[in-house]
Amino acid sequence: MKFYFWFFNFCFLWILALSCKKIYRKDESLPLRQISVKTTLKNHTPGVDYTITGSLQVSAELSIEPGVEIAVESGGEVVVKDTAVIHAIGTANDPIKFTSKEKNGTWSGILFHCKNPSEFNHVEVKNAASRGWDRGCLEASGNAHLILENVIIEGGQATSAVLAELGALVEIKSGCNFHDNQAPFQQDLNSELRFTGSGTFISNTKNVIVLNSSGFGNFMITGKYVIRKKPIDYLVARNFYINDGELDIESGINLQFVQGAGIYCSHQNAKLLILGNAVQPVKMYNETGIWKAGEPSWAGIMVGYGYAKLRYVVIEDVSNPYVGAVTVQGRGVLDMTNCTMKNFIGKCSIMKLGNYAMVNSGIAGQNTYINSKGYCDQ
Amino acid sequence: MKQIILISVVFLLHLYIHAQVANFSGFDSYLPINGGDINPALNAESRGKWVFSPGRMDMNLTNNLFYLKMPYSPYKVIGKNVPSAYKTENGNAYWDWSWFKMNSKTNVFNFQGISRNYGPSLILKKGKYYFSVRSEITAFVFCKGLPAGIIRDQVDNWNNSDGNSAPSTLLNSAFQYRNATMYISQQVYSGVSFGVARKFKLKRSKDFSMGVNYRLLHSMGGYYLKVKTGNVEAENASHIKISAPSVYFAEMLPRNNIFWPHGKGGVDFGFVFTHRNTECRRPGNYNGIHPDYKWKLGWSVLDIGRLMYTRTIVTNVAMKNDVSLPDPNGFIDKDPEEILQDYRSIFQTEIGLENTMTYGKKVFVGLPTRSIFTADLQLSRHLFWGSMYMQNMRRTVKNNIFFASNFSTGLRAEFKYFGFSLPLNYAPSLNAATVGMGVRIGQLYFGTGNLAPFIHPNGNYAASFYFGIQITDLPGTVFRKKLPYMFSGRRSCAGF
Repeated sequence: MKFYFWFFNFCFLWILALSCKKIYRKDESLPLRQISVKTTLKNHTPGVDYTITGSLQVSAELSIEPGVEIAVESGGEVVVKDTAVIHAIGTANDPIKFTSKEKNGTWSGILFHCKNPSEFNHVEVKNAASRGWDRGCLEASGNAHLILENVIIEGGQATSAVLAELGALVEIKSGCNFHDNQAPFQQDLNSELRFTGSGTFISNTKNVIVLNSSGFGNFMITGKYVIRKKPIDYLVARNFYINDGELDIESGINLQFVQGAGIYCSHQNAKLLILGNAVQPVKMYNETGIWKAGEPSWAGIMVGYGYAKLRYVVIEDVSNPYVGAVTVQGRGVLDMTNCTMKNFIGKCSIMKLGNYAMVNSGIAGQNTYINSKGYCDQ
Repeated sequence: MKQIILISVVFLLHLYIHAQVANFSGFDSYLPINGGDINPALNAESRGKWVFSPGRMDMNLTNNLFYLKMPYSPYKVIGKNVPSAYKTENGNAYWDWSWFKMNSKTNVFNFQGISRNYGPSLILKKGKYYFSVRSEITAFVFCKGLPAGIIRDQVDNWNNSDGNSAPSTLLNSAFQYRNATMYISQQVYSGVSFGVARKFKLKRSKDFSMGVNYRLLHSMGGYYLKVKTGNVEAENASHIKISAPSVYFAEMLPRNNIFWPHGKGGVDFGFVFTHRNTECRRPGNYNGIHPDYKWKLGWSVLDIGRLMYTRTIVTNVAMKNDVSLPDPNGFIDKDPEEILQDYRSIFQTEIGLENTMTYGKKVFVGLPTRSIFTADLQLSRHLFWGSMYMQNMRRTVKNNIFFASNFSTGLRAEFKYFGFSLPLNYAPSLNAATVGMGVRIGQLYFGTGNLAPFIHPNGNYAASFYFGIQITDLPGTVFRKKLPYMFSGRRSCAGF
């Protein structure tokens, strides 16, 4: 009898201790210092494993093991520099998490200013905020190479979830999920977003790839630049000026333009090729969700010099009382067939200005006009 | 307060004794609460039905480099008997840092210490079994193999708490030494141990006790540093043996969560064999066994186990695999000493060394496992001669703490309300012998492992100290009532 008394007492105390263990759980995180030697982060506690205050400078190889949770204080950031790399390889059951330390706090994201490829797999990045305009939750700059697979970025208040600029390469493999951000991606023309797998991009303020320059200027194209088809639309935030170069837009691409933005051929050697096909036309229209009918719209296409060839292009919602949605003038040459002009407000949707500009014969009848006036020669 | 600090400093610096780890008072059969520290089976040798200790402390430290050379005995500070020449204007004891010395003959610095502070502890007899519960906070400090020259070079800025710079600083200094392996560690943990022991009656006049303790430990922080210096051995240019240098530094941070997520445990076990005269088989104390004996042999293994840390920052400095060294063929005509110098310069500039840091890695630190052999002779009813040899174990285990093996022997007098022991302690590895003293008066006991500082103020490096309180139901009226003949007839059955 006494044995049972003591046995049940022991069991009771043990259960009590285990219960307290679950309730009594304080912050067990380790503060991360400057990482200047090869470093591995381990999942050493059930909650937040590491905290970052201020700017964590990573200048050596950093490996993060599955299940590691890193909380960053507001204003904190991770900067990966020079020859440093981050290998953040989680698993489906134990993803790696970057979160804000405060409940409603925001942090400034991870900046890759490094040369060697960094890899994120099964990583969640939450609530990273902007440090200003044109910033990303994950930001690859310069010669940075970032590989993302099964990455979730959510709640980002930066301009975009992933930003590539100044020659960076970001590979987006399968399983990536970007939601509740301002935009999933942003890039300039010197950088590349390479999609090699499927992903979901929902509930973002804009589900687009923002094409923006890394500075304040417009896109000045002097070589050949190809806008390739991606899983989501593009939003062109600056004017394209094609100088001594070529801009190709592949079939099936949807291009949104912010108010006032357009494409300008501004050099005698400029070349614009927008080649859709009957199945996958190229669509060009105003920024959705922002532009409203009757307001100033995107600027359309102006061929002042050089050569422009448009096939199966749908141009929508251009509003301009002075020129057309597609205008050829000066010494420009326009070859445009099987295109559709839609909802144009102005004199004529395809306009030829001046005696030296040239258009293909029969241009007026070779294109379709919906809710728009047709071709005119001014 | 100033006096307390001064006494503490004097006490801590006045050290040269080896760590006994288990103090001699454990032999006293009236102190079973201490006996369990030497051998868990000694719990069953308790003379009472229950033993309770509200608290006790055992501190032992050792080093072979630092010592104090004072113009008066440091213990005079306690008694306020400091010579007037060494008093300040306010009448306080004067302290001069120049009294703090380093032994110039010491080549390798060894330091080890333990501070074992017990909270409430209890031994309770239930049926044939003795159950024990002990609570403790233990601190280990441990240093072994460190070239004393490093200490001398860096003694001014040795207080380096930065986990990043400590290894590299040490590494740079360590390059001055060939093939040296050194350890520095400090561990603090708290624990609760549960023990059970039982005495078995064997054939006539022989008893056998066995006991085991299991401890739940909660690691409270510390560090572990292990440095191996690089070296090149070359008899001639065609036979060059390179050993890579390495540094391992684990910084272990405490956890707030006290419910053993950061702990692991330890096991102690032990046996005691007792031989008595035949007449002692008659009922004695509560065990039904007479407390007197002819001789008693014990063997125990303590601290089998390890501490676990999860909040850690581990730094490794090691040779890269792809390190390129000069072509040995280029040294064919060179003197081997020149070759050594060339290679050594490579190590010194840290070419080919890779520094890695791991956050949050699980780190296990082995407890200072040791085996203790005891032999105790009863010379007369109240006079005993006890000997104890402690052999450290698990030297080769990674991240293990160990203590210098040592030997103690001495006479001991035991009375019901008084005990006295005078042990001689000797640690072969430190080549140091000391004489200690232990006293038990009523429920209070205290002692030291080295009496020398009380006698001579100079050149004594050592001190150790223990004290505690124990409350027990000593065999009193009940014993006398049940067994009147034991005290009315022969006073002893030990054969003397």
